[in-house]
Amino acid sequence: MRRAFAKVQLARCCIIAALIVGASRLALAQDGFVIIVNQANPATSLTEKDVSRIFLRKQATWPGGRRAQPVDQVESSPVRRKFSDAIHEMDVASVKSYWQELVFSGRGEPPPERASDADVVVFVRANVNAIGYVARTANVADVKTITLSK
Amino acid sequence: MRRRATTCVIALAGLCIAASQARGQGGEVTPAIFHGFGGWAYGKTSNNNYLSGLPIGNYRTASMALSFAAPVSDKLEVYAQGGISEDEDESETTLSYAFAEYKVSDRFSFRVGHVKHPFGIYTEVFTVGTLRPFLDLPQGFYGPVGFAGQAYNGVGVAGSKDIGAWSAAYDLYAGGNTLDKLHVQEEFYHSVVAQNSGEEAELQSTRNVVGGRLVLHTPVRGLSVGSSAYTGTLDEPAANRRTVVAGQLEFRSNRWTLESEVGHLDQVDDERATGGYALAAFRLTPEWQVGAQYDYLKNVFHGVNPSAAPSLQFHREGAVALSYWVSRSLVIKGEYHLVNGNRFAIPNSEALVSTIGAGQLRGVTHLIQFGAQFSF
Repeated sequence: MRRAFAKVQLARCCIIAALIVGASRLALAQDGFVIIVNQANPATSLTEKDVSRIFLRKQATWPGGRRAQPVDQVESSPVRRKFSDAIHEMDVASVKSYWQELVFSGRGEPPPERASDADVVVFVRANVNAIGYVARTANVADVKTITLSK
Repeated sequence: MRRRATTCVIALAGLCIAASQARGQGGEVTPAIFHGFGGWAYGKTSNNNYLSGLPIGNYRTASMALSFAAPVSDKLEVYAQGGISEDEDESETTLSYAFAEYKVSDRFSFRVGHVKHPFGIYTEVFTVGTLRPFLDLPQGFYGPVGFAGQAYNGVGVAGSKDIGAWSAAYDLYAGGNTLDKLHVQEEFYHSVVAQNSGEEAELQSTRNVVGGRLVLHTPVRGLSVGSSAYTGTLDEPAANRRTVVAGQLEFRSNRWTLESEVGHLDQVDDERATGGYALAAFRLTPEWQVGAQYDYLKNVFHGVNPSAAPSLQFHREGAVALSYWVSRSLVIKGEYHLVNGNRFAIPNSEALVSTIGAGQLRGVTHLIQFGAQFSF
């Protein structure tokens, strides 16, 4: 009886730990960066999976059929590292290998890269279908931030 | 050879001109995007010729390729890739692919032209060294035995679809393909190798090809399983039917690469081959990677007596590698391979008959090679 009780307690601890890890990962994502879109974009929230699929060009369009235009930050950017870890669950180098595979098999091109948060904001402001990510501390006055969910 | 190289250059130049006029969505001019890759390797064997290795050592294995993508419109894109490679025998210019893709949606795109052959894990990136742990792909599956060509000439459709937590990617195509085949062994069994000495590999064409590939990406990130197959008839008077089927299993994470593929070729009244490999690689740090692989191939040629040199029919190999990745765009690799069998590791074709006649064909080959591979 005591052993069975201990097993139940262990299972509960594992579930709670998993929930904490999942929640902290989402919190990390939302602490490290924000997702931005053009103010004319009707989207208000996206799941992590949606964002990952758009940036990896597995999903080419927004709901409604408009072509999505993701914009990445340069490989050396700390915010890109946080974004890759949280959204793609891959490090930046692995994402680069993913793109090499698609590029050299003639299956796609990576999103354009910008050198700073400000450059990403400029791109998103200028392109109605654009989506980007910037550090939480960046000035996002003329673009729209959207909610990220699991 | 010169004519083929000229054709390749003209095709690329034409596509470049077309690309310079490319227009993206909204009417803005979208420049063509260029990429490239290449490498160099040194190899030395204990005996026999294998991969970049020669018994006396070989510095001449080098290659370079350029590829570009040109967005012509929102849905239409043109892709092309050409390259040049050099080894101890010759220089070769190739047009890897040149095709147009019309993308209707994520689920459906239409491709036409000289299209990369969607077969297995690596056929579409066969020559890109920065996408694999070893300098060369496992010969038991990707060697010049004829499982898959690098491209098909024809039409195809491709797409992907989410199915719950899974996703599926498919390719279907029809047309013809051409592949490299090391045929000196078969010619030896047919006693014609002496007349054709010097040409160890032949280009073999298959027509009326229909085929496809299906890859399922599981809910476990990086884990996928898939299958490829095609069938067609050989472009020669006998028109034997040629059918190839293969399966693949792959897991990739930031640190691990675990892969295995098996393939079976059946060429009616001609030959059969079964081969495959298992590969594991681990990144000790972002820079240092270790890898190990085992691959094998068993070939059976129809209507011949292989008893004079049975080792020409099989290949078994174990290999280990240590790589230093300066970045994902530049890697330096050092390797050791132990090969048993002479399906791929053989003496010069000019010397094959006399070597076997003198009982000096050695079935075991040791190879060390190192080199660098890059992409941009």
